[in-house]
Amino acid sequence: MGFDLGYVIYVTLVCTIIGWFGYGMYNMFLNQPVVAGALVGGLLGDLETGVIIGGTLQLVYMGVVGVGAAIPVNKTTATTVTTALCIMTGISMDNAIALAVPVAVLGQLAQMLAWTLNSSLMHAADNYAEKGELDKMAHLTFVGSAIFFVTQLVPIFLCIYFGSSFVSAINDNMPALVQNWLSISTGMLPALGFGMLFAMMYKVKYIPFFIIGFVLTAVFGGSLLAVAALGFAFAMIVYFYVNQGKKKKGA
Amino acid sequence: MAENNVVENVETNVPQHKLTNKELNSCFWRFVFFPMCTINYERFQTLQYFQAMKKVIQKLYPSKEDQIDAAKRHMAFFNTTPQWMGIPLGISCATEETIANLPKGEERTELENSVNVVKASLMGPLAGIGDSLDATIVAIIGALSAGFAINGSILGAVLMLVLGNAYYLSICYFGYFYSYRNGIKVIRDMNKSNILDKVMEAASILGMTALGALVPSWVGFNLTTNIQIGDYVLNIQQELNNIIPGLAPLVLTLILASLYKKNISSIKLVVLIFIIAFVMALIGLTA
Repeated sequence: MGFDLGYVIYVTLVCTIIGWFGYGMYNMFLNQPVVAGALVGGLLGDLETGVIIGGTLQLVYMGVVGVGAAIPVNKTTATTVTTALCIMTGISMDNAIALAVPVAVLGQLAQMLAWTLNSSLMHAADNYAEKGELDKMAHLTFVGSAIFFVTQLVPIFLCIYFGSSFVSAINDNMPALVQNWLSISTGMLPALGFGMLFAMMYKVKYIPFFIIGFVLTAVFGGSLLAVAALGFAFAMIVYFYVNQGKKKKGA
Repeated sequence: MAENNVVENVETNVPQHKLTNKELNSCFWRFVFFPMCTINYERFQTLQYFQAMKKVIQKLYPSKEDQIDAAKRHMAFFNTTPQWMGIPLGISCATEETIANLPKGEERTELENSVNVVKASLMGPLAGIGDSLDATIVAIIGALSAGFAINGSILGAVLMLVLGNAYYLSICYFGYFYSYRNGIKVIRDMNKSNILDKVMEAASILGMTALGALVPSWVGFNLTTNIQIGDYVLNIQQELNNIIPGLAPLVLTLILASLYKKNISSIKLVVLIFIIAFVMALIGLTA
């Protein structure tokens, strides 16, 4: 049941480095689930699992974005750890997705800790500014970045170290009811991502576009790419024609 | 491009301090690569704004005294969506360049004070538009790439990397250099043309259309089990499909959206989903 410690450390580092891109530097979109999942899958030798879990979680966390000063649940940690645990323990993908829920919250707490620790850097920066040591001020960037690395590393290590044995233990004797429960949950979770996005963009005047998109797909079986192309056309029409009309009236 | 500034400054003073491409590029890459490293609850992105400006400040102000003033100036509260930071940064670079070439006096002090006024007045609106535009664009790219990924294709990840970075870097690049060239005028132009509102509206329309298509495709929520009542077999999914296909995912999405709009946190909604799923599993429905 136990996993080799060296392997656990390797997995931890892979997950941490990918998660680090969220705040530690320009994220280069490596922190998006669809990319993070593929990277972990590739590095742990099961690309397909990583790609599929990443794609699923991309939908689940679709509406999860940092708005203003709020830190959202951590979709990157959720993806990397879930993918890693799934590959390590051989649990089915449907059931693995459920692991993402607690891990995402843990990743969020880790980031809140980093934000708190980073506050102290502001006082160091104020002191340096007073003395005119501009280079030292700028170098604090790397301290902040390191804080994000460490605050990711510790919880991810704990998740992988204890999680792997824990998950394989449950996996070996999981009742059918629980398996069924987790698959249904996984199927429903993307609705939350869509719902959050809907709530964010909602305005009565946009409802017609939502209906058109829905009917074209659900009733007429249109592909997403085709419907998105139509959406792009609607957007251009509104941008170029509708606004221009207003201008003429005003003139 | 910097020639405009030279011409303007000729009336007051011969520009001694001029930013070269070296400092401008340094500022650009510093904000692109390290937008969030020291983000914190006290002053958010403030220090990252300063570190982007560092080389610019050092170049423009040879005297230590002036450097200290400028450093302190840029330690005032700042926070916005990372890629949109380029717009206030570009304006700041242009303004600092003008300040450095002015003699000490009322005009210079006024301009110095304006630096933070401009930053403060831009960061709110830019974050408002930036955050929601970001959510919309990433959601659309995410949905397209997830479509490939769910079927096991690596193309999804590639699509996200290419389109995502293209979107991010182009906003960084054009926002920053356009604002540097046009300075404070950018704010007036933005207000007059309403460009941000128009872009936001167009993006929302695209987003809503795509979202409408996403709901029935990817909420894997089909009530496939038949319920037997006496001799009568009720195939729930079949009945629902007769009304309108994809109705169940649509209703679920709309319920979750309205709960989320009522400020119920996403974590509570996840718990709710697990409870509903448990009830469904208990009565023998399968996914």
